[in-house]
Amino acid sequence: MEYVVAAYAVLWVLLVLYVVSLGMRTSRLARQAELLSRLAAPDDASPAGD
Amino acid sequence: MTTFSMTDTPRAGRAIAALGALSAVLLAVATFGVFLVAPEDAASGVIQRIFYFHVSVALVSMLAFMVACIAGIVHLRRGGDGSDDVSLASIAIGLMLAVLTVITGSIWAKAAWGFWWRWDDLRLVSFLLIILLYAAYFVLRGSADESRQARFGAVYAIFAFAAVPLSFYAVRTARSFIHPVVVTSKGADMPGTMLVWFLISVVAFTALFVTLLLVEVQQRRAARALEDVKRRLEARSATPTGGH
Repeated sequence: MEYVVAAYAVLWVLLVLYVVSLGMRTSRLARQAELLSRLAAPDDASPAGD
Repeated sequence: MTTFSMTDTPRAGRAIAALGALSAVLLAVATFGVFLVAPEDAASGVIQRIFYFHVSVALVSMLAFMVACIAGIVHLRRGGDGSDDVSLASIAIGLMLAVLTVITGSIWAKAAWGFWWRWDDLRLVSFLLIILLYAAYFVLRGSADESRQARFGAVYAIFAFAAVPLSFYAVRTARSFIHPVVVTSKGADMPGTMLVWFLISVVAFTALFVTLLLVEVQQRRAARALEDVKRRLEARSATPTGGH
């Protein structure tokens, strides 16, 4: 039974690590998007000519 | 104000979330069934329960490599970033699943036959070669010029896939190895209840693969879109304002 548990543990640990890495990448992209939105906002909001 | 999204549309995001939830439910059902419902194999006992996930993961890894190959063909015919994204993401996920196949298979071999690895088992060695072959894909991509990465990657994904059916049929042509053959040309060599839980496991891992693939592809699109916005912002800030 120990071998069965070991096989399942390895499987799930690796899968969870993969999903966590995807989640971290998504949050990094979201942070970048947020930052770029802030950078772009003043230019978009300002009138075209003064 | 400019806004950015991690997915093309909110609907696409919701679809991925729904598919992810479905995958989680299917995996939970498969785990429950494999441990608590499926009958114990008379010959190998409890160790046989590794089979359900080990073979499912192996089959889905081969499916991932096939998807990468098809996406590679589409890329060579039509071009564009979409098919390259699918090919690259499929190989990354397939490689992870192939590594899991070898690890779980090795644990099964140790429990059932008393050794972790046998170099004279054609199927084990051919699967290891597939892992090395697809790991080399990332080395090739990384070493190629950025404008050629997608094209080189597509060609490599097509040719590397030739090794996958070779590995699959290796077990049927060689006889001097320990790896059992469960799925034959006459069908699955197992009782009906075992087959049901095995099929549920295959469906669960296939759903997980599709979910991970969609997330990876959306991430790559989002990253490319962000890079594009960054370049435009840099170009805008570098342009002289022309004040009087």
